[in-house]
Amino acid sequence: MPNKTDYYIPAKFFVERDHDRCIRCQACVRQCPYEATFYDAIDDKITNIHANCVNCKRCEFICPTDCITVIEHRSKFVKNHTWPDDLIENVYEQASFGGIKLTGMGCDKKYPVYFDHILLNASQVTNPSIDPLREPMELRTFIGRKPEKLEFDKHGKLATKTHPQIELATPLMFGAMSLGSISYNAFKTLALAASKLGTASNTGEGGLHADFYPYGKTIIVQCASGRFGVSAEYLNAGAAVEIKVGQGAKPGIGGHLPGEKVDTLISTTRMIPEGTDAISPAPHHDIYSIEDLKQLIDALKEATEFKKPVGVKIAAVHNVAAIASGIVRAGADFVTIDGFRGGTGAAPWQTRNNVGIPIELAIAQVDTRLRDEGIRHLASVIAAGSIRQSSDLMKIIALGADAAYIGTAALMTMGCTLCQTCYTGRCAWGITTQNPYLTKRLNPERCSERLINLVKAWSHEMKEMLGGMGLNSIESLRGNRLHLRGVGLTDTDLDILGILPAGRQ
Amino acid sequence: MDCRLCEVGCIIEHSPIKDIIKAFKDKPKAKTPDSAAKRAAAFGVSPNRGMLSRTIVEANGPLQLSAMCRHCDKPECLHACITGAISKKADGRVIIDPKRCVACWSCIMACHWGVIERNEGEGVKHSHKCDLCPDRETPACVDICPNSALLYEER
Amino acid sequence: MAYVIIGNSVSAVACIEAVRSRDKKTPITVIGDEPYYAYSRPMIPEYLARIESADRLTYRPKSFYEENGVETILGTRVIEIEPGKKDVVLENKERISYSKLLVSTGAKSFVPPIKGGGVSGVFNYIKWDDVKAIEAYLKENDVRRVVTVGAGLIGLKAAEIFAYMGYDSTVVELADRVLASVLDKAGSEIYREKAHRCGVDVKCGTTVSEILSENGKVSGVILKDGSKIECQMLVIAIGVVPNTVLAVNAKLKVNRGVLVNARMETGLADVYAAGDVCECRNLLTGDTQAMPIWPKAYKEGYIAGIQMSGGKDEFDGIIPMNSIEFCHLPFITAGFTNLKDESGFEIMVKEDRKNDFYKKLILKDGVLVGAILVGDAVNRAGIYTGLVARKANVSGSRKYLLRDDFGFVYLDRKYRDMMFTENPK
Repeated sequence: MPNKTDYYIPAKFFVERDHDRCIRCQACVRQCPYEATFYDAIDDKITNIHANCVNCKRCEFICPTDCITVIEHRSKFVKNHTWPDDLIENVYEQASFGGIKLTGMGCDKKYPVYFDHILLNASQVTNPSIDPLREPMELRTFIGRKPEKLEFDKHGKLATKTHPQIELATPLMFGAMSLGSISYNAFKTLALAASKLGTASNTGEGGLHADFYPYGKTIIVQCASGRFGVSAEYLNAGAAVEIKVGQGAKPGIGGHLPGEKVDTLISTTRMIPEGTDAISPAPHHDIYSIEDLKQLIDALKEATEFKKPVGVKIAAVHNVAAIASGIVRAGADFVTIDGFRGGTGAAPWQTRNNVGIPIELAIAQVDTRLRDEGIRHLASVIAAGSIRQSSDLMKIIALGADAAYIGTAALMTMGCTLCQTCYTGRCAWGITTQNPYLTKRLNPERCSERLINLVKAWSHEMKEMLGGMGLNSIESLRGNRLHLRGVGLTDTDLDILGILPAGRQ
Repeated sequence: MDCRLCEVGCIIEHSPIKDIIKAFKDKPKAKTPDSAAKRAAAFGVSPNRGMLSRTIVEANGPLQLSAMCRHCDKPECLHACITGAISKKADGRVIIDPKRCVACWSCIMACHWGVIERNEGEGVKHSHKCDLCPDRETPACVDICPNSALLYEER
Repeated sequence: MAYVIIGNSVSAVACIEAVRSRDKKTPITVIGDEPYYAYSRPMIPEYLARIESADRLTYRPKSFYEENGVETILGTRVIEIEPGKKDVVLENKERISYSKLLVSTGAKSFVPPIKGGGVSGVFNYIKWDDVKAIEAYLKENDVRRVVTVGAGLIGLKAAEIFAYMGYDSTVVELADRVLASVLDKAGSEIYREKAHRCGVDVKCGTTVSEILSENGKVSGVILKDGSKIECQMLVIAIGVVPNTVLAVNAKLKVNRGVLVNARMETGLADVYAAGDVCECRNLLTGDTQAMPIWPKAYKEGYIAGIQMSGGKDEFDGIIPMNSIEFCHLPFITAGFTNLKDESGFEIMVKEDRKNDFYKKLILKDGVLVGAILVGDAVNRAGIYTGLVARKANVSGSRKYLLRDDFGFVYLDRKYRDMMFTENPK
């Protein structure tokens, strides 16, 4: 029977179907996990419940005759700049359910994207450009604490003792996405690709499943506030340890894995009961001061016999520079800054869209602050939070980052269409779900190939851009603000970013 | 992954005009259920407009399998056929000649993989199975599968 | 060097195909007592009823023999095998030498002596010539009713066809039900009902004790209970026995059928046997017995051919299996299907009699040992055949076995992996 509610929300999307081309194969019916597609055997027609459609585009993907087009629903509220449709609907829903509205992926609101206002340099005439097809281009990056100076003995061998590093073939790693927020197959895709590429993936809060220990040399293991799956073996299995204090998508609160996504596999890996919500506490309950953090860093270094870099991940918030400084002084070998546009499997909608600051500004400030204090060499700075293309990566490195994580882009190579319904555990692409019927669709062999292609493509583009700038090493770009210019930015923006406006020499 | 595009690909390849829309053009509903309708009823899936694909997709929750003829070196079906309608070609394919088949179903009895089916409809009654797409380099089902679930290898 | 094959049916053909896969040169001679190239005996009822033409009965055409370099001597009997001289002697006294000999003389009709026999109008129903004789008699005589003795796979079919052709048709069966050798009580009941609807008068639990005649032609029969049926033709379709007279005379080891080892060797140097004439191992019971089914004849003939041409292959045995259609309703059986005593076995049944659907599975200690599949239950029947033949333990899949969509996704991983990732047999 039709459900009568106290409010009316028009469906967001409409599934348009060319019935002349539809062959009733019902692949779309079987592939839709949102109960939006059905087969009517009596009339021999495929029908849709448009209100249930989330525009994941899985049906469009699978349809062998391309007869499906999912479009925005035509029915909208009266045009109102102050009250756009989603805010109206949010009030209706909260009036009905009295709860927190959840969402997935990164902030989709129209805040300025600073990457789109920054331009890179290129060489002309003076300081000629380098042809990356003819000259070697160094993209290799080392994450870890660097010594103050290098000293050599009388034979020319390095005398300075160096701290443990992770060597990356390219300054791009795969962001922290826990087994639980994503499926085993998705996690495997990241691990496989990182291993083949010579870069790193990150366990996120969900622990490291036994099957992935062989990939440990290229996995950064995370120690988050819930301490899910953290044991001595776990810490030593990875290439580095990252203490997760915050996450860009939801600064100030802990991770959230809805109970629907906690099946036997997740339960065993995280060491929690099946079906229970896995909510990480907001703070680490043993870290209430910077000294506490230092103690944890020291403890982790001891537990890993000082053989691995130990770092800290924080969300980009208002006083991120001061926090980063404190973290570095507390002994962290690397600091990960996660901008407010970073993705998540589940976060409150309000928090995701309104809390935190852009990564571009955060990195610029952190880099400047650490350099000013003369401690920039003590820790690598890693950026995260919607790095969407190779030029974004170039820009964030020029603003001061040593390397960056990609999360959203990595998932997109597995098919993600950014429909933002990860928290439902019904991901039609088998990425952010534990439902075996759905996770089967994600083939780690095929998808890791795609992810490797992406990273190789970006690396190649970076080499082109570096060469274009007359640089042959990514190290030369690191923190080199002079290679950036701003367009359409205010003086304050330019000042915070530490870059000149375009046109200024 | 239960998309059953292998069945669709198989049907397109074995249709007279190898075009997906034309292959599936509305077919008049038969008076009594034909083989395709019966298979659809048993498996709870699309009757594919009355066309019987030569691969059978099995599904049990998250476990799915697309089963078709293995073109065995020692074909049980060939051993059992009472009219010599089944033969092994030089390229290794095991083929049923529908013109010689007398619908005794001995091949269906004999095949341990259950990949031979009865094809019964208006004016049609013979055994039916994968013929390894003689007009293609790789079989249609292998080409269309979006998840690399079907592998075509020399053994 | 010459391969000689006595008999020209399934095993002979398989032997030729096997030999020629290894040896394209050495001459092969086939001697068949019937004047035909290999044809399909199961199809003779359809021939009689003009449902199928002579061409459709062909198992292998003349071109098969020509292309494979096989000399055929048809319509001639072999009367003796002389292993000392390595000769076979034909009825016209001609001698054929062999270096390797295959005895594949098949089976012959089992005809018990009946009081009043020896008159015209009484026929066997095994060979093409049998139905050709029936055809001729029907043409020459005013036949109104045909009585068929035996309601097994051959007899019931014969009776059905006579009814189809428009004759009054009665079938007389000694057992208490039709198809008693292959079906259970429920299955037999389905087909008794079907036979009745197709115009066959079925009489079980009795047999013909006397044949009545007029002017030297059959005019009726008297049954065991004394009742009389008027008829103008009598067809004997009680069963077949291995045609072993040649083997016996050549002093081969013979039980009911010729005894051979797994390599189809008879024990006599260079003499092999295959097909309905010989016995094989029943994979279910371990016993050696006659098993006159088509796939067994082909496999044995093929293995004999491989061995005869210097290769190596062995036959482990086979399970009983049948596939046939009566009155437009097909059934397939595999394994134990007509158990007298079902205690000790686990029985699973699914049926929908209104739609002629009957599916019965018989398990012992978690292993499938028998399947009766009637009507739409024949779909993918071979999966069950495979489970029986391979003695697979299906105890984990019990609740799925009767499903209409039963398949490998309902069986354990080990079986599925073995069947799909290993090389096919």
